[in-house]
Amino acid sequence: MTVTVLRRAAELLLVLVALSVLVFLLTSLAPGDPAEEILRRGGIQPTARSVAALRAELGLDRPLFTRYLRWLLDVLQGDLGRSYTDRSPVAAEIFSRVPATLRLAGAAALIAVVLAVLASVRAAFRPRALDSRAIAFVTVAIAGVPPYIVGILLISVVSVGLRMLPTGGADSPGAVVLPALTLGLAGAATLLRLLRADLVQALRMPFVKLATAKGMGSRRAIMVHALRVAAPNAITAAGTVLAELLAGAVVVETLFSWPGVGQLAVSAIRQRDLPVVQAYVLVIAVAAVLLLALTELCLAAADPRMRRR
Amino acid sequence: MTGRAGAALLALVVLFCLLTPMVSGYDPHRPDLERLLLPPSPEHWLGTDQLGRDLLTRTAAAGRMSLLFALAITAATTILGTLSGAAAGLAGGVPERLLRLAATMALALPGLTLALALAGVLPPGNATVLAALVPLGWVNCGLIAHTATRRVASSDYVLAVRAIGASPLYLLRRTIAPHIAGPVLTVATADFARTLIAVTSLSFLGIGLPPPDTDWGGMVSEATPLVAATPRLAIVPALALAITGLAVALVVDARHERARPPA
Repeated sequence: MTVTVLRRAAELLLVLVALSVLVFLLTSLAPGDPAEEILRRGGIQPTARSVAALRAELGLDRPLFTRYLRWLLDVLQGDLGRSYTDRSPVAAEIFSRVPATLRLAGAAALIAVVLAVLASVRAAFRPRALDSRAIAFVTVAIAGVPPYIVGILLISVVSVGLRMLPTGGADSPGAVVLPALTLGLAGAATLLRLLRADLVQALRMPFVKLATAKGMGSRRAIMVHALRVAAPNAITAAGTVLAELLAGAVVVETLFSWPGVGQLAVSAIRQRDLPVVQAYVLVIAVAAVLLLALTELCLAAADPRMRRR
Repeated sequence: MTGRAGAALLALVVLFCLLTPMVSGYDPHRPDLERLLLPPSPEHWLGTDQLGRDLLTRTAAAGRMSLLFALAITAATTILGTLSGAAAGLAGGVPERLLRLAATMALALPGLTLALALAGVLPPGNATVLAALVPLGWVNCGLIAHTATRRVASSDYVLAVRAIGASPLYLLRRTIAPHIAGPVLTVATADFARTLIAVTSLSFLGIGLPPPDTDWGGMVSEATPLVAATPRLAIVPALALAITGLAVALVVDARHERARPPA
């Protein structure tokens, strides 16, 4: 057990280091000189001397590897650099927006899990019933349609047609409903697909069949036995889906003007504010990797078979 | 059955996108300031948008771009993924580990994250859309081609073909390719669905195809601020994309069902 955990931790560290190299290279090899960019945005005509001076100040005249180490040390101390546009610290701006994104992703995850579990139990219980078929069809449909399309259709019907909820922003208490539903439906479709297949398979297992043969109702057989068999896969799926929700929030935040991290990233991309883009990618990637690692830990807790591997 | 329905629906969408701009007689890009925001009428079946462009023609033209880009990117990722996966599966050893590492890295970056980063770093343009989506897109095809190749590579007849001195290229083309074509095609259809979503999502975020060209995502993005006053402008491209997505998803689902071993 300890060896497994240690080995996984080492692997995790390796992936995180590789990711940091990737993110660093992505922005430092980008076309254009950051020093020139900063001067121009500050309203100063860049001359050879002023550019050279700023390059030295920012450490850009050092070799790539030295720059990477300095950048990594800064990142580890919570310093994500300064924005090109207003020279404000990027970390403060990103983390002031994290709560909004977490609220959205959390509400979406809740919707996704509840919908997926309810619908998959129903679909596994009576696969040929009309509502199970409808569930299957809607799942396929949602998997093929981008979330923002679902979102704009929801806005058109609920906000514009029925005048019930706001079209965007985060000011009123009901504002989270539509964005969370938009994001949650996408997550539910992925989760449901996996969970239903697992449940159907679990229902065929000999011990579940034995339970029904001994007179246990099939509803109880699903709830007591099949769900437990399917749980490990469902936990893995939930981890992946949660990471997808966190990343997918960028589109939904843009559609609903939700003041989260994704909206910040999109406006930074439009203004070519590279430090902010870099910080966004780093934060999302690290969050996704840690989330998957956490999933694995939960898995080991839920499924004794996993502990020996 | 649903697979056929999906394919037929997709064919209809393609026909609509290709033919409408030819027969409607309107330019999908040229603004007409005397015909702003006209309601649907016999001349403009779906009305005009905020710049006076015929909504039906523009939706079809945008659909053409969406489908074209999704197809081009999927073709690139499928070829790239299949070649690298099959080569790594045949070679084993270091190439195989490199493929696994690249795949792990790619899977650590969920959704559009890498595409956003690349779109933010590279100058805006059509080439950037390709460059943003290909680096992640090959992973699924690469992994399935790798697994399928590994499975046949250890079989006796591949050993026999190797023993008579076939070159690796011959081996790939004549012995491996027929075996991995099925799974690769299934993944490629699923990739097409994903790519269609990704391309239009980038345009929706305003970092996709540069104007005047647009795709369905770009049209929805332009129409979002006007959704309260003229929801039609957003609903039409949204429905077009939803119908296309549904059609592709039905085809994908049918392929997956067929690929699943009988219980």
